[in-house]
Amino acid sequence: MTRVQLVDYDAGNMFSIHRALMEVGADVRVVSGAEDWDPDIGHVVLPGVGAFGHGMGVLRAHGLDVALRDHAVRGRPLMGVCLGAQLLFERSEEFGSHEGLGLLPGAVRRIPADAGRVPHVGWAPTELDRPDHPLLGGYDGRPWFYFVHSFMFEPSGPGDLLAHVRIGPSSVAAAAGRDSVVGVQFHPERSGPVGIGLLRRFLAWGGDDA
Amino acid sequence: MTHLRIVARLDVKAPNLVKGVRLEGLRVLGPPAEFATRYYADGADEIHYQDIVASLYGRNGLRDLVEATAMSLFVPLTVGGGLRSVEDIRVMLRAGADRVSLNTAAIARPDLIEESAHVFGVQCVCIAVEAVRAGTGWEAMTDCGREHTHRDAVDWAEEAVARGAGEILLTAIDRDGTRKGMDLALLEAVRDRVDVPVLLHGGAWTAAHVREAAAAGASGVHLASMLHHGATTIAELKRDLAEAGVEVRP
Repeated sequence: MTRVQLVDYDAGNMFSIHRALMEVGADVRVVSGAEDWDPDIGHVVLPGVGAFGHGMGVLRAHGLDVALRDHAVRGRPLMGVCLGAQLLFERSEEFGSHEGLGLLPGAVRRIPADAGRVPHVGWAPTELDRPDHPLLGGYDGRPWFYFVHSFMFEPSGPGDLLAHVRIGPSSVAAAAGRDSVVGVQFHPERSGPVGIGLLRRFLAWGGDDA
Repeated sequence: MTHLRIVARLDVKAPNLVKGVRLEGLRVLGPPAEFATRYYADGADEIHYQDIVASLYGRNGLRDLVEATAMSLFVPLTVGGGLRSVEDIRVMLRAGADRVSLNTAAIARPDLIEESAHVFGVQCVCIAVEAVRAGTGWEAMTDCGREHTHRDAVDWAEEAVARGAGEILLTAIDRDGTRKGMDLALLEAVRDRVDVPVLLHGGAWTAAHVREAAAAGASGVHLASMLHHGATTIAELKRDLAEAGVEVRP
């Protein structure tokens, strides 16, 4: 059974992601501070919905920013989901400018107004930019994932964009990653069997980028 | 681009799934969780549980059902009926709901919309408008279609969005359970007045009815009788829609 550390930092409901990880056979340990952190657990999931500045503030206040960076530096699998994915980037312009974890180069900004109804809520077919990535292999064509967000991440590193969706005339990042760090804007825990499949591959992943 | 969302709508009078006509004459159909599980396996994009006696009793009795459902169904789950406060909403979200649907309490005290959107985000707050034909327009009803508000349903939808509703669910009471097709005029009246997703409920019985709603700009449809009575399955319906050029999740 693969052990997973699930980071709880006062950023929304943990129930769904916790349940979905159990569904794919994970032994889930919920951690809410550096003092609880188990450095021997190989896989970490950073979930979350809500505001970037608040989320980052709570991570720092509990020493979780340092623990997450250490985990990534050791080349171990780390997956951010929704706000958790956005926090992996260098900075956000959500209600002012905030510094993120800086594990992926790039920034977070509002979905452009020409992209139609914001927040972007609902299912969308996802174009795979890196169908060879270990977390995205196995999908035929365009897998449909469930999205709920008003902000989006824009990876600046070459090859870091793993998947995107089209919203109106805009291209919006759906997944990004580098080395053992990956972030998904959509909710795999709410994306039916397609999302459950992604979580299953995450658990089987050793952290290699290709 | 919007993609039509197929929502399996389950009206619950605990412990049973029920279905009536024009929100009356309820027939008992069986355990709601069994139906929900089947609809999930069949490709439902969302599950909606409505406690249809909650406003009468002043509380929503679906917490345990929501929790049991969220344990095994991995699509968005919306819950409505009898939710009257931020705390009521919190209980449902903690039990595993992704969104709540408000009607009676929001009309009685519209500040509830702002309060809940502020705490949980606009994407969590769906305002359900139960509309009944009145003259050339529609009147908003409460308490599962039992009580008049004398408010224009379209104006109310617009106000709800201005107050922070992230989604509008339109129930055409005159069509509910009738199998006569959805109220496209109601959808059209609301669609251009708000900039959030608008879902339509009431009257769908065939794939053509659903296609018409999609063509009229619905972000999603609530299907109840059509699924419960086996007029079609969600998988069949989605194949039919895809062939007709409506983009839906396979």
